Amino acid sequence: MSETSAWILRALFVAVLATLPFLVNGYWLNMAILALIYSLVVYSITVLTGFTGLLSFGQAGFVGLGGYTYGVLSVKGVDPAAAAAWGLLVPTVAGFLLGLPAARLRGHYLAIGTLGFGVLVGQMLNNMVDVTRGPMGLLGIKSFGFDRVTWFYFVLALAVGLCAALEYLDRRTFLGVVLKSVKYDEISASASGIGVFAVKLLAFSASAFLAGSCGVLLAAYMRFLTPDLFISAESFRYLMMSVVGGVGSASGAIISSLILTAVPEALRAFGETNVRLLVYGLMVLFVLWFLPGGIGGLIDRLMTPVRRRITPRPRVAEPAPQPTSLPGRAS
Amino acid sequence: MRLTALTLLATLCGGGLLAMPTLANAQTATETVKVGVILPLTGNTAWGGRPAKVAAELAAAEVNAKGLAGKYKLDLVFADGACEPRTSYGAAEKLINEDRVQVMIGEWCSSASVAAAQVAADAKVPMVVQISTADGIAKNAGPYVFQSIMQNGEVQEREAELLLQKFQFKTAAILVENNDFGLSFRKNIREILERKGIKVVLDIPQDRHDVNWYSIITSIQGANPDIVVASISAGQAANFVKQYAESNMKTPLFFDYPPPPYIFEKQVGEQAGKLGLVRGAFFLKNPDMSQREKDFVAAFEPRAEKELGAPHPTVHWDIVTYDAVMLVADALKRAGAKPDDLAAALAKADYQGVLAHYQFDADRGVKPEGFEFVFIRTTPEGGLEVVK
Repeated sequence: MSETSAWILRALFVAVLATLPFLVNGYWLNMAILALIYSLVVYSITVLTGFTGLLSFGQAGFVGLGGYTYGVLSVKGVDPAAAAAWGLLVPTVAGFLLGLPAARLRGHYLAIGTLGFGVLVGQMLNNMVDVTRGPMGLLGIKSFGFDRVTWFYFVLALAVGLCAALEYLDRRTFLGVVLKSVKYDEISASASGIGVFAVKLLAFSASAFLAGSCGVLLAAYMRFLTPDLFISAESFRYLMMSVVGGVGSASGAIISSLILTAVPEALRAFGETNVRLLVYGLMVLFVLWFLPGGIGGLIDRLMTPVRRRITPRPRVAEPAPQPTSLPGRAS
Repeated sequence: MRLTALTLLATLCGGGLLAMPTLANAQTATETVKVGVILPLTGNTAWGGRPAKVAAELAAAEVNAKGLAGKYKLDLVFADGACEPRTSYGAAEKLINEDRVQVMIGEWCSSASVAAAQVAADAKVPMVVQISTADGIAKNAGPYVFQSIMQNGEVQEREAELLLQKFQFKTAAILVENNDFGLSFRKNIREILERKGIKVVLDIPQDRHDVNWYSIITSIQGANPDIVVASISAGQAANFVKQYAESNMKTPLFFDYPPPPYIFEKQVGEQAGKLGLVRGAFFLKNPDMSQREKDFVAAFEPRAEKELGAPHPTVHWDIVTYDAVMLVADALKRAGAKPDDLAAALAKADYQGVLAHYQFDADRGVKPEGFEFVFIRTTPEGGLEVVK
C-alpha cells in the first residue's frame, strides 16, 4: 500500500468516526465516548510497555487516582478545570514516585511491583471512606457542561490527536529511538550514553499522566465513581485492550478500545446470559491466535509498501550446525 | 349489480356498527409502559439475579392480568448488570437510550446500582433501587431515584438492637469482608455497639479475594470476645464458617444478612448448624408468615422451579423485586407515565407490599418502620429456623 493510500485510509477512519453522532443512537454514542476515553489508558500502556518495555499491571491505579482526585474536588465545589488539573497532576506525581523504585526492577519483579501499586490504590479508594465515600460510591460529580455530541467530538479529537502524536513519536523522533533502545537492550543504551533510569522515569510519569487523564475524563463524563471501577481486574482489561491492539501501536490501541468496548455490549443481542461472555472470550482468543501482533501488527503489514514486502531479504549465512552430542563422549 | 351494491353498502354499515365498540375501546385502550430491570444475570451473583427476574415477571403478569397499573400494561425489558458498575452503567444506557424504557428497577450490588442510578438521574427516568442497601444511593442520585429497601445504617441499627436482646455480651469482635457491605457494616455496627457500651476488642477487614481466614481466627482466640459479629458475603462466608468450625471455636457467631439462606446452608449447613450460627434476615419461610407472603410463595416457587429448572426456596431478594414492580404499577395507576408525575407518585407511595409497607422519606429512602427484621438460626441438621 502506498503512503498516500495509507493517509487516505487514516482520514477515512477518522471521517467515519466523526459521522457516528449522525448514524447511531445515544446508547452507541455513549459507548463510543467511553471507548475513546479508554483509549487514553491503552496509550499509557503503549508508552510504558510498547515503547519502553516496562510491563505494568497497575494502570487502573493511575486511572483511579486521576478520577477520584477530580471527583472528590469537584464534589467539594472546586472548579472543574482546576479539579482536572489536579486530577492530572496527582497521578503524574504518583507515576514519578512509583518509577523511582520500579525503574530499578525488571521482568516479573516489575510486574508484581506495579500490581502491588494497583492493589494499594484500589484498597485506598475503598477504605478512605471519609474522603472517597468508599464503597458507597461518589455521586454528583460536576462535569464540563458538554452535551453528549460535544463530548464525543472532544474525546475523538483528543484520542486521534494523541494517536497521531504517539505514532510520530514512535517513528519519527529521536526520543522514540531512545525509548526503544531502552526496551531492546538497556546495556547498549547505557553504553551509548542514554540515561536509562531517567528515560524509565519519564516513561512512568508520561504513562501515569495519560492514565490519569483517562480517569479525569471518566469521572467528568460518567459523573459517578466507585472503587470497583479501578480494581486490578480493570488493569488486566486495559492490558488486554493493549495486547489485542498490538502493544506499541497507538493506532491499534484506539481501534481495539473501540472494538473491545462495543463488542460486549453488542453481544447483549445474544441474550443476557453467559453465552455472550463465552462468545466474547472466544473472539479475543481468535484475534490473538490469528493476529499475534494484534491489530497494530495487521495495520503495519497493510501499510508496508508492497514493493518492500516482495523484495527478497538479503541472504544471511546460515549458522553452522550444532553438534548433537558432546565430542569425545560415547553416545 | 344493484344487489351487489346494496350488499356492499350493508356490509360497510354492518362493519361500521361492529367497529364502533372497537373504536370506543381504542379511546380507553391500554398503553404499554416499558420498565427496564437491571439484574445480575451472569457472573457470581447470578444465583440471585435469575430468580429475581422470575419474581419481576410474575409481578408484571399479575399487574397486566388484574389491571393493577390502571390503563397501563407493563412490558419488562431485562438487562444484565453482572453486579459490576461498568456493566450496569452500559445496561442502564442501553435500557434508556435504545430500549426507551420509562422507568427502571435494579441492580443488585450497591456499586452497580450507584452507576445505574446516575444514568437514570441524568436522563430523568424514575428508578427504584430495590436490593442495594448502601446508605444514601437515592439521596445522592437526586429526585428520580428511590431506594425501596432499608439502608445499611438502618439494618445494622435493627441488628444491633436484636443482638443486644438475644445475646448476653460485653465484648465483641467485628470481622468484615473488604467490600461495600463489609465496610459500611463495620463503620455502623462499631458505632452502634460502642454507643450501647459494648467494647470492640477486635475489628478486622479481610480482603475479598483472600480465602484464608485462619490468621484472623487465631486473632479472635487471642482477643477472646464474647461474640463474633461478621459481615461476609456468600462465597467467603462459607470459607469462614468452615475454617471457624474446623478450628473448634466456641465463641458465638453472628452474621449480617448477605449469605443467602438455603444456598449457604447447602454449602456449609452442617458446620453452621454445629456452631449454631445466627444471622439477620428480612424473610424466612415459616408457618407464621403473613397471608401475603404465603400467597407469594405459592405463586412464585412453582414458576421459579419451572424457569430455573430446579427448586428455589423464596428469599427476600425475590420478594423485594416483585414488590418494586408492584410499587411502579401503583405509582403508574395514580399518576401516569410522565417521568415527573411518576417520580412524584413514587415519593408519595403508601403501598402495602408482600415484604413491607412502603413509604418514602424526604430523601427518597424507604421508611424502615415498614419492614420486619428477624434473626434466623441454622439448625444442627442444616435447616433454618426463626429465632423466637
